[in-house]
Amino acid sequence: MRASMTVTLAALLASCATPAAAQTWTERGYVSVNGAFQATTNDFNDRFEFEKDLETGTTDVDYRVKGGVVFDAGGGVRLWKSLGAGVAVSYFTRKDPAATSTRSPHPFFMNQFRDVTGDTTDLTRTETAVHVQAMYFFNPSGPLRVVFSGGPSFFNVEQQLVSTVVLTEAYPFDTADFSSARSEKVKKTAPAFNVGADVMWMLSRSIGVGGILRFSRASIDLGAANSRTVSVDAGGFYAGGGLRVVF
Amino acid sequence: MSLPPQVPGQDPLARGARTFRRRQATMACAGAVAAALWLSPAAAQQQARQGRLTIAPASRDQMRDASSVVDSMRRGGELRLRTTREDPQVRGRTHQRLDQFYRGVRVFGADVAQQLVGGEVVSVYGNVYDNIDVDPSPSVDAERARGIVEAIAGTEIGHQPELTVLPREDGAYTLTWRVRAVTGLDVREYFVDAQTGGVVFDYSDLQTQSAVGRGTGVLGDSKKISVSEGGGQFTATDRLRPPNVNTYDLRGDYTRAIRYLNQLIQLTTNDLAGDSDNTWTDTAVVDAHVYVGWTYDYYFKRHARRGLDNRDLPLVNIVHPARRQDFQTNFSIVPDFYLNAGYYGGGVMVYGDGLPVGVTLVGGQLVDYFSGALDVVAHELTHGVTQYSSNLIYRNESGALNEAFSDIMGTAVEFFFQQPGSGTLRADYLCGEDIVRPGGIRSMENPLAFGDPDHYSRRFTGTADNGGVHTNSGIANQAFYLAIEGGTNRTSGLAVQGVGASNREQIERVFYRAFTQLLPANATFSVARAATTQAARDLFGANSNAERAVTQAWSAVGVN
Repeated sequence: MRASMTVTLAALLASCATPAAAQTWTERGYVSVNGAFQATTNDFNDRFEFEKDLETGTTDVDYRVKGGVVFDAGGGVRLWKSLGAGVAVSYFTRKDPAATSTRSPHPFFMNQFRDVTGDTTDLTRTETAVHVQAMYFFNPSGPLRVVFSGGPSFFNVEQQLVSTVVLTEAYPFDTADFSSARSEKVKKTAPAFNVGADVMWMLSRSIGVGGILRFSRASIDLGAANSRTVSVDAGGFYAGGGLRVVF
Repeated sequence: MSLPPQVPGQDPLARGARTFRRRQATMACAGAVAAALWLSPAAAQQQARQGRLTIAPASRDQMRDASSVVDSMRRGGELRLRTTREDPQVRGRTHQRLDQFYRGVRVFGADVAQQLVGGEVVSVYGNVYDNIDVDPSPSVDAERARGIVEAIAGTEIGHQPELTVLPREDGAYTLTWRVRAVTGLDVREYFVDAQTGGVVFDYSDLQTQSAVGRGTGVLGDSKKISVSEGGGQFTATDRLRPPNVNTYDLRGDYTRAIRYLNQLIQLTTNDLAGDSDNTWTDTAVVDAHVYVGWTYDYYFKRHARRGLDNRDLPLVNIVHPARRQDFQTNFSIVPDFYLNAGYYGGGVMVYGDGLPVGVTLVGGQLVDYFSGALDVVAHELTHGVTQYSSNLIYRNESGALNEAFSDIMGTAVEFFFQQPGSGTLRADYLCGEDIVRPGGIRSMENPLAFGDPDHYSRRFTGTADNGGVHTNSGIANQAFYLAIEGGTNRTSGLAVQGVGASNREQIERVFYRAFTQLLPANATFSVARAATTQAARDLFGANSNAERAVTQAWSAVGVN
């Protein structure tokens, strides 16, 4: 997915950059505000152990992190000819369910685990990313403006992880039922990369509308309770549009 | 012998007492008579059951009435302010707690909590008692009451006893001295009758919780043990199973054991087996406590039975009634407290310590702690099941059936929890093979190997052993074995088609049904055959494999 998206963006960049008649920007720079949709899903899973009744139980958790709305704002300035630099900030948050599968020790007998499954909802994932970009400003014709960008990103991911599964059990304890799941919030910042393009249509000298395509991706090892790490992917491809102000 | 164990901690306030209507009619405090109307219908029903006045107004009018009566009782000195505290959560509110007094003596468990804002009552809840009529002058003084409790609890007590009116379960009231005794294992509240000096009520005030510990059994096996934790100490009280299961360690004090079994003394929490780190190493304690729990589990899971009386009768294990190291000097009690495990009625089991290392039976067998064999523990508990069901008379054929049922269920429990096989900690048709080694004490597969009859024609007809109850049990044991495993009886040569080991549950259920529900107390082998056949039909239908196996098995052992 990551590779194919990179290739797609590179091809887009190459095709747009080719026309000889293309004009360079005369403006200094621009700012943009976008609403977008992140199409990439970032499902992941986790396993943690717990001590109960003298034995070690386990809980496996399958997390869903579907795509969703991304808020993106940024801008760039032209520094030399068609080249410039910019920065953008994207923010993504949503709540998704997770499926838990627990093997809980029996209070009376060794090696007699009870298998318990249950779903928990509303686990929050928040991704805040700062994208530092090298930019190529391109003006194919008239009111059309195009900016290609790429560079490092810094992702801050905050994820609600299941930390404890609460079971209801009663004598003779041969079975147990899922009651609820307690969670903890963990977060970490990690470097990543981004590539993208911003296509603008100027409605006036300084105001326009535009569309954005951006792919940014990070792999992060979140530190969770009991010294375990949970590997998650963040970001992905998002597309959207919004307001442009050129100056 | 029937020996009801001590049941500590029952709340006399929650038992019995008078009805709400009667209270309405006889309430002493005049203003409070109308106050019976404070009760919501639900609370009134509760009140009627528990025999005390519950204040729980359901409307503003009732609230007004209630608070005016509380005021009246305060003015009359029946309610006295204990504490006043500002509300830390809702600004401007105050909470008062008031205790009920009768002629200057506090009434146990009677108090009122009311919430006020600016002097106005916002809520009022409580329990009070009416129509109290006791002489508030004690004949027994506080010092004597303290001495009485010191003797019982086995500890010195420094604080001053408090004179208290104790509402009793029968609706009466007793003037008592309330004495709190803290021992290493318990915190106990005693109520000593201030007129007679007798302890009329006591309960544990120690806040404990269930815990799962690790224990090592008699055979060195590791297992989980369900215990209680409180005050930094672990005690052998199972709080996870429905019945109260306590294992007491009498530390070789056989005189005390005998006095307890004769109901001359009661055991206290000081007698409970304990451990400081929850890694239990007294193997006799571990196996007694764990195996009793497993046996309860078997009956619950297999037969939906709740303990010996099917009503979760408390279970009492006694281990170390005598110590192995005292074997030479305790020769008179060897049969009971060394070489035996016994069910003494009322849910009480005593497990002998076995023989010291180097001392064997005549045949060279060593005898380990009797609690170390699952089938032995289940055997003893099954005597309790019999006691509370068919109550088979312990002599002659009914006695042999009584013993056989204990062997049968003991073996069934073994197969329920252990892997089939030979050797220790394996399920087989030997009895007691884990503690009397090698070989055990009886065989269901081949009773003749231990000198027991495998056929009715070989039955013991003498008078010893109550008419051979431990001998003739071999006949029914062999029938049970053949009904499951099939095979040929060695005496009759008759072959039986058993239901097969994978269907052993069928035969277990058949025998359980027959022996607990169908048999009369003076049953004979012949009646047992008819009852088990009937049970097989009841459970699995006429001409079922189970019925065929049971009838063939009884025929093979010569019982028609």
